[in-house]
Amino acid sequence: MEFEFHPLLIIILIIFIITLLFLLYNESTDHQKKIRNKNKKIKRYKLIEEITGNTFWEWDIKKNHLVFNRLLKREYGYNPKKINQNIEWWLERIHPEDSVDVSIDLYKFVAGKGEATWFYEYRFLCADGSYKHVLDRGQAILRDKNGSVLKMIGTMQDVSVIKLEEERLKQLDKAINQSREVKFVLENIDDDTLPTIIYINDSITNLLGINKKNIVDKPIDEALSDRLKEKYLPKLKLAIARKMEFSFEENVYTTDGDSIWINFTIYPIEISGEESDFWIGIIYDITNQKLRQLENESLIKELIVKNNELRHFSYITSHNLRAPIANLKGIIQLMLQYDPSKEEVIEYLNALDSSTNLLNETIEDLMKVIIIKDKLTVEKELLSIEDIINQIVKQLSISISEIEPDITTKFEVKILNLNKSYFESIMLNLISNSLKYRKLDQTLHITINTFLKENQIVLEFEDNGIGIDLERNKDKIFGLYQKFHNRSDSKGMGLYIIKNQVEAMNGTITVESKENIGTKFTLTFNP
Amino acid sequence: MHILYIDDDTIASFFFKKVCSVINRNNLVINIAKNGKEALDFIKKTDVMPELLFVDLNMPIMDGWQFLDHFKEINNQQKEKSVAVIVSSTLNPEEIDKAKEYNNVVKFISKPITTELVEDLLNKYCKASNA
Repeated sequence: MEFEFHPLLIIILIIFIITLLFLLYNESTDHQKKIRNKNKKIKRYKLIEEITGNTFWEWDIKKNHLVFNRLLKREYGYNPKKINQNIEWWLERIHPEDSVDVSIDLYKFVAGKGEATWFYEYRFLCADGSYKHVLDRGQAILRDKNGSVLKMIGTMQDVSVIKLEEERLKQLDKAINQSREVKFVLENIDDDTLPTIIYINDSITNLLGINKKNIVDKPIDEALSDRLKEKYLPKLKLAIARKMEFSFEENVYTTDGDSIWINFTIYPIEISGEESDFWIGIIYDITNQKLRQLENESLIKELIVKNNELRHFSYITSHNLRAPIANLKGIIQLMLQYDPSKEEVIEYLNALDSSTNLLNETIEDLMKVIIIKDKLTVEKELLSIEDIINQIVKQLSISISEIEPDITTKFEVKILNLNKSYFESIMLNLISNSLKYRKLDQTLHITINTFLKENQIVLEFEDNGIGIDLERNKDKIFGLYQKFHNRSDSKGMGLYIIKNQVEAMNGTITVESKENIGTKFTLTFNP
Repeated sequence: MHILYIDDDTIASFFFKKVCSVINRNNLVINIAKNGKEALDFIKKTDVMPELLFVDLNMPIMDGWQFLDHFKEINNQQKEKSVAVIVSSTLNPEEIDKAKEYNNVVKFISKPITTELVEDLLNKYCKASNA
């Protein structure tokens, strides 16, 4: 029997070979695919590494084999292939202050008693000897029956920059809280309410005594007092609606009841060049500044008054110096121009004499006023009012023995701390005036009393003389060269000098008077 | 021809009278008042309207301005012919300006008054009575 290949067998063989070849081919392309896929995966993996900058690790707990990827070199300076690839190497490089806590926490996790994931922040020693803040996060990929971890993988993230930033923010917050100004941030949360205070530094407590907690997370208007709201709320609303800076200066009270001046300012802020919902607010103490300003304002007012007074003084003095000089000039002119008789010469000489006397007295009075006005501080001493009155009575003895006035005194305050020459001059002027402007058909009564009232020493001087029509002369009574009676011997300076002397001693003087009834002067001084 | 000189300065009044006496005019009647009130009283009492009034400003009881204000209110047919001259030693520009508010004030002169000045005024404002 001839052995020959059965055609069917050949066909089967061919099919078998083809199938084998096909399978082999398939096998090889599959392998290539797998390799390509793996390469792709590695590429992607590397890309993620690059993006996250995280160092990956894998720890086989049973074998105590710990491997890191190549970023260990870049981030921390260690070649991952040349290190002792075990957990001890890693633990040795954790900051001594952190290492105990970290290892306890990690072994707790490994024992299966922790959470699903493990994370810890610690300081990790770099190859160059510096420490970096690291956030380490790990996950179990293999556990035994008891839940103990057999294998885990994780990442180490360098958080030094974040840590630094956190530290910097803390410092900044401290600095802001130490600043004397109150600084706050507002956020426009919805359009129905005013912006809300989302941050305020501690200075609010130091400056105004307000507790931060009472105003944070509340709209700005709730932090304002009713008085401030009434005064500024409409303007504040308008400024906020228009996104405009708004500020005011106001006298406010702290919770301790102290009065202080503050400047309150808010302004909208832009974030990266665009309008935002945030506002910055500042409150600062301007008390000293304000007090100085108010002081300056009152000083200016005082100077204006003084200046006007001086202008008035110069007009009036020039008038009163010019008047007698005009008389002298006129009379001499007449005498030279026209030949006067002997009788006329005597008349003229008498007029010249009166004019020169008047001129002399006027100049003396003016000197007195200028001296009072020139002196900034007046020397004071303790004076017995009784002694001074007695002395003046002696000085005026001629007219007093002629007029025989009835002088009654009642001194509850006997000793005064005043300038001697001013006080003598004041009392002399008052008594002389009473003698001069007495009613001729009546006995002259003069009453002088001193007493304490509201912490002030009061001196009342009253007479029953002819009085002054105050209705008509109210503003003029203490003015310079104001005469109220037709007396050739009055120059209209007495009360002006008295007022200046009283005021130079920080006192006040007022007058009450009725024509034909009398006059009462009330002087007050600080004790 | 009536002149009323109103001034509280007795020497100035004495001097004014002397000036008038040396001018030596006929029919010159000079009256002196020590203040505005005396002047008003004089005009009311005597019913004489002076053609020429000399008014000092700073006087007790009623000063020159108050006098001029009251004078405005007087009803007298002769008043239109009457003119006032302010005589003062003041240098205060406010007062000099204020004088312009009064129609009957024709001059603001500084003391002392001279004979020439009085003669000038008489010639200017008192011609009618001269004739």
